[in-house]
Amino acid sequence: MDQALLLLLDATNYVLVIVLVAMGLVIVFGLMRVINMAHGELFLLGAYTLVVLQQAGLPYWLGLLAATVFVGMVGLLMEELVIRHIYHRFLDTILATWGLSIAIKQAVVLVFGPGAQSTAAPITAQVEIFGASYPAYRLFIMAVALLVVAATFYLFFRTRFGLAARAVIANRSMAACLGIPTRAFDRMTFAYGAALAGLAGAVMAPIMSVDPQMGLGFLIPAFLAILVGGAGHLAGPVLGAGLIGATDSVTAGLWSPVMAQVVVFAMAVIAIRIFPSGLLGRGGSR
Amino acid sequence: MLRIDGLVCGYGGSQVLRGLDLQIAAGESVALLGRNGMGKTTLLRAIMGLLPAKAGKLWFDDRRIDGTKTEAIAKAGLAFVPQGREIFPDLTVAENLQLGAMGRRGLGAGIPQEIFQRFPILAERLKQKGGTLSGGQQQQLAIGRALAGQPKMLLLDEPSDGLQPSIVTEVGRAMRREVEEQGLTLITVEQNVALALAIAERCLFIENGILVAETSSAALRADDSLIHRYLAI
Amino acid sequence: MRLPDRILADRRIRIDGLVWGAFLALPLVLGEWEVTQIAQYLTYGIFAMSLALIWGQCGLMSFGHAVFFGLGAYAMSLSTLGLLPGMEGWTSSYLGIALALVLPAAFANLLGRFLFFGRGLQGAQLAIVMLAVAVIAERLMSRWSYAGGMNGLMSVPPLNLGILGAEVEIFDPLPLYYLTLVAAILVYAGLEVLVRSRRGVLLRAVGDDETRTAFLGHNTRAVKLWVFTLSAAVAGFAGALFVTQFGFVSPPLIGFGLSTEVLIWVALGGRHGLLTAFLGAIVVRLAESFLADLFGDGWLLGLGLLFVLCVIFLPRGLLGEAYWHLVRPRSLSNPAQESKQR
Repeated sequence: MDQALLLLLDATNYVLVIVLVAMGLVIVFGLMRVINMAHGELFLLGAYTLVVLQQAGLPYWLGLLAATVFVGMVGLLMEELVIRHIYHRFLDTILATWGLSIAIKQAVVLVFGPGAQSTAAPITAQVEIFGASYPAYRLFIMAVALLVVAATFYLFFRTRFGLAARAVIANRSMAACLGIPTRAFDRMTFAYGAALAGLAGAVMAPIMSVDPQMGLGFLIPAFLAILVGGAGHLAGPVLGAGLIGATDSVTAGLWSPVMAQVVVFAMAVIAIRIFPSGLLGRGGSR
Repeated sequence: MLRIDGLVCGYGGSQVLRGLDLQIAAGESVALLGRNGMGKTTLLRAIMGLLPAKAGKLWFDDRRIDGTKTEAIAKAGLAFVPQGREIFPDLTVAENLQLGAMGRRGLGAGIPQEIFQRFPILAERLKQKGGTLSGGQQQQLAIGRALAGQPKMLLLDEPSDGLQPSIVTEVGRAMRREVEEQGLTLITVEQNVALALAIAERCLFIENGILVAETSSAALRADDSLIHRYLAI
Repeated sequence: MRLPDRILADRRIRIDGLVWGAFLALPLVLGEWEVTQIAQYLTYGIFAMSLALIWGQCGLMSFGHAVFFGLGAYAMSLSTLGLLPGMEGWTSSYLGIALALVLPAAFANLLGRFLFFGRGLQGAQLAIVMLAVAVIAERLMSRWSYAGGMNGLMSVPPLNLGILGAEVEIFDPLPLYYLTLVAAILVYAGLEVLVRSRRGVLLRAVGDDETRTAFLGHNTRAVKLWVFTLSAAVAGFAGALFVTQFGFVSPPLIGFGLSTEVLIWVALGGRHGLLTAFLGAIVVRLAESFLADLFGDGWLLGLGLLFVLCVIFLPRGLLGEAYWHLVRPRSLSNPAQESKQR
């Protein structure tokens, strides 16, 4: 019973982590039609920011905030220098951001070396859930993920800022004719997606090995989650991540982690093939 | 209020406007008439900054607006209702109007209630998606959205396009009232001469990218030779 | 043929001939070690041409093309090490090459049928699905202990072109280099003929606007399927040649890392031409062998940034842009400017 409960908690944790990573990705992908292959490296930068600040003796919570803000600013810079040139060249966004991901990863290697860094979680307590003991920090991560989903829904669908952002995305020149500063909204939307990656990286840093390769491991599942769920809607990646995370955890538990990845990716490929616009499909990826 | 000197504008290598001059005073309502392809829509797009001017100067409210970004031109007080209306089909009526209001007047601005007096149908359909409205309702929404920003001047492109005659009359009446009661300055591009005459007091004829004739609406009603010359096919 | 076309074709043949001539002459000025090194890069060049065929001509961008290269490499290794399941102990380079052509082609054909039928996957979806396929292939290979698992297979013998029991191992630098170069030239010539034929026009039509090409009555799915299959066979062939030189095959050869590398070579070189893609692979690898020593990790940082700049500002690729300026008749404008608009 305990085993099953722990498995369930771990699976939920993994699902929510993918959701957390995918949320920033889907804003940029689903709303701005940019495939950001450097999202994993933004995640990486978030984690390193936290590590650096903690080593400098600053409190964890400040590090979390700083990582979010710093990576958001990196996103702003990325948008201005690279992304804005290629908004209407969909496939080129994949290539250019892939180049950026190589560059950012190598920059991190140059500064911090290829080895792993580690950082401490601010909460080390275990909590009792239905008789099983579970690390409280993992529950915190799950809470952050849920909060991010809620905040993103709220921001984009319940505020005037979100309304203007959606208008810019739906019809750029008309939005401009209404007086909406389109470039500012491009920048802010992209930076918001980047900041979420930074937040995700910082939140995850204490429970994983912080090394230059850490971004890629989440990037691909997050992408598949978006494609499986559908990029046209913010709920798409939540559904996709649920399916992918659950399948992964169950297969890993019953078989092996490596085969879990094989099974999950193969299932994702088949799902994407059968539902090209995603399970919640609308729009597709063209 | 609007002054254009020697505007040259076009797509790619081709020129559509070839040195067009135009002056419009505050509070005036002007109709722009001409056959298809003569540059009417191009002129409106150039005024909004959607197409860059290759030569010539544009002033709005004594400020140069050529080379200015579209959103800044909109903020200065120009609103545009394009042909085909271009409402946001996935957003609700209320959201469409809200965008019009806050685009020009800032995030805090609300929808002016006069819009609903002018177009009562919009008040009934607030929660409905823009794309589900009928053509006439979409046209009213597009005009309402533009007016929600309380512009000084409105550019209206083919408002009668695809609408049934009764609605065309209604739109014409609403625009005329906007000009007379609110002091809106208006340029209407129209193929439908009756609607143009109902809205505007001055008519300009455009041919091959320049203005070729101008007359008052009253004079045009009495003598339609200009219509035969510049509009008949 | 209209006059500008002929001038263009003449200049292209002259330039392409010069480039291949230079490769023929290279061993005259280079030492043995460099020649061996470049012989290996030639196999990467063949691999790059196979990607340029589907990507540059037909618009199929793949983040997993190494699957076919790796499949060829594994097929060759198992054949020459006498490890072919069912025929253990039996070794043959000829069989290896045959399998390295047939297996990737068959796999690509099946995969293509799955991916392209009906309302097929396109653009970014295809790219990411191929990425997932590459990861799956890499993971499966690392689990297949018969083929060495994570460690791969070592001491893969060199190419042996002996017939009827005679042993002719291609091992010395010069024979190795020239044999690989001849293979590269044959692949280039074959694909170039294809690209310039009517089938080539159809390829580019599909790449340009698949829907419109389909409206004209062409079976675009069939076009994509055969070019995907052919490209996989060429990639597998490159993988087979590579492993006989490198002597070692392991899961990264079939995976995501090499897939992205070849994408970068082709993009930097120029995906619209076979020769520019081929040169892209060689130039990047050469630059890497010099600069990685000088700058260490800084090299990859520079490559990443160069790649970004190239994607944004030179969609034809660095060499592709230069090539175009060389062959362009003075009166023609640059079509890259127009194609960028799309």
